[in-house]
Amino acid sequence: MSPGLTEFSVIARQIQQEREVAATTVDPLLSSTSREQLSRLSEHSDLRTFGALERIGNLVAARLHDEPTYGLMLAELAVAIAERITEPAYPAVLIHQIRGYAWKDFGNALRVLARYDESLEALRRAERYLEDHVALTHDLAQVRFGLATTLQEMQRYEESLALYAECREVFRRHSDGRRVVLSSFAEGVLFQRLRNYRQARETYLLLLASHREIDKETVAALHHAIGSCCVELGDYPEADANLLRAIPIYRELGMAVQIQQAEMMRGRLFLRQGDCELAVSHLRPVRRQFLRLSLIEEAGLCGLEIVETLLTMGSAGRVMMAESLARRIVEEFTSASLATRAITALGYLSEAIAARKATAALAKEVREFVLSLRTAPEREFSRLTATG
Amino acid sequence: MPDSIAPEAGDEAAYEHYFATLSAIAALQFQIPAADAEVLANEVLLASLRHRLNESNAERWLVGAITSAARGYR
Repeated sequence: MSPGLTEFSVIARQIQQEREVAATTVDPLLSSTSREQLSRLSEHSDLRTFGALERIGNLVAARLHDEPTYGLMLAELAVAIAERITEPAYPAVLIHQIRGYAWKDFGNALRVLARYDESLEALRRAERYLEDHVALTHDLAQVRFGLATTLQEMQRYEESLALYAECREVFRRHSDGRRVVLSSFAEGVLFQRLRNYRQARETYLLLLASHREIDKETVAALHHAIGSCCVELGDYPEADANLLRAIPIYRELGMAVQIQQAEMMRGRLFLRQGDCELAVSHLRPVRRQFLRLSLIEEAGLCGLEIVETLLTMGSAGRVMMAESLARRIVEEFTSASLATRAITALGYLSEAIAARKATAALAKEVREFVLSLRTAPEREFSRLTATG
Repeated sequence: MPDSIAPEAGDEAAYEHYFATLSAIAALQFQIPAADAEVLANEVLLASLRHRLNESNAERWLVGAITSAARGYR
């Protein structure tokens, strides 16, 4: 009999049992606890298990994008619990794994809330726990993937790229095809963000051609991304072909927001092709759909594409329409209490249009600024192309 | 290695099987002393519990994990 067999058998059964218990106890316990009281649950014995922490980790991931503040609270709770779990409850390697995941989730939640320095610190802490055990290399790569994303948000692009490549290699070695795809995709996104559209497109195309098992959602996202790069590269037929490949897949998957985002990119494509009438008539229903989905920011960004197009057209009537639309976007952003910095930039655009000093380039600059606030909410609007 | 088992849920046969194989990889391929190779194999198998391996991915994942662990061994 192998020396570790008894320990393994006991732990494996224990974890299985904990998972079964957690599936029925964790969610009701969390949902019956007010947010103010959540941190007190770190003392609750039902949550001080591997299975319960794993369940909380899944909930953090599920809630993070819709309710990031709640996701962060859950992640913070998981850290507090994980730090209280000690040997002999589990072998050392599992305790380090438990703590590593808790800190990873916490670091990722902080990043979503744009608290990048703290995110980096939390992910470094996760790294330190996992580095202690060479058996945790795959777990460590997951932490470093998060670290690469935080570094990207901090504009530390070289470090980010190097980490994505390192993670991809670890995932490849573990035959973790899904994460290999994610790592490559992340590299492509980074190139795209750096406006290196050619290299981004190449990364995406290589991924599509890699014969890896790629799920439908990722295939659609790849076509969408390739289409977006092609728009920027002026390769319009390929842009449209790829966007038109993405849209039916999104439709099949019921991804309403992504459908409209791909359609918005087609609107930009029509503008770049010089067909302003088509761009405006295409973008208007897209904007309406965003409003119907209560996606005020997306609707505003789409509206700014229309404003840019109307200003490109330049006739007095079109400029008046641009002015009215820009004012409506300001009102929508204000009613929805969206970022003050975005409202300031939009207000500036409205005033510039009213004074007949705005250009299509200014509308584009404001749109890019509003978009950039998603990852750099502290950024100030600088009037680079403003006239007058 | 047969690919019909995963070391989940206290499956002792799967554990014994993978333990022997992973220890052998660490010891023979990476010249790690036998006792340490066994410790590594055991830790990799314990760590794998988090990953809910199944019949189709267990072997490849575990071989990748022991290879990574052996490379990091000092």
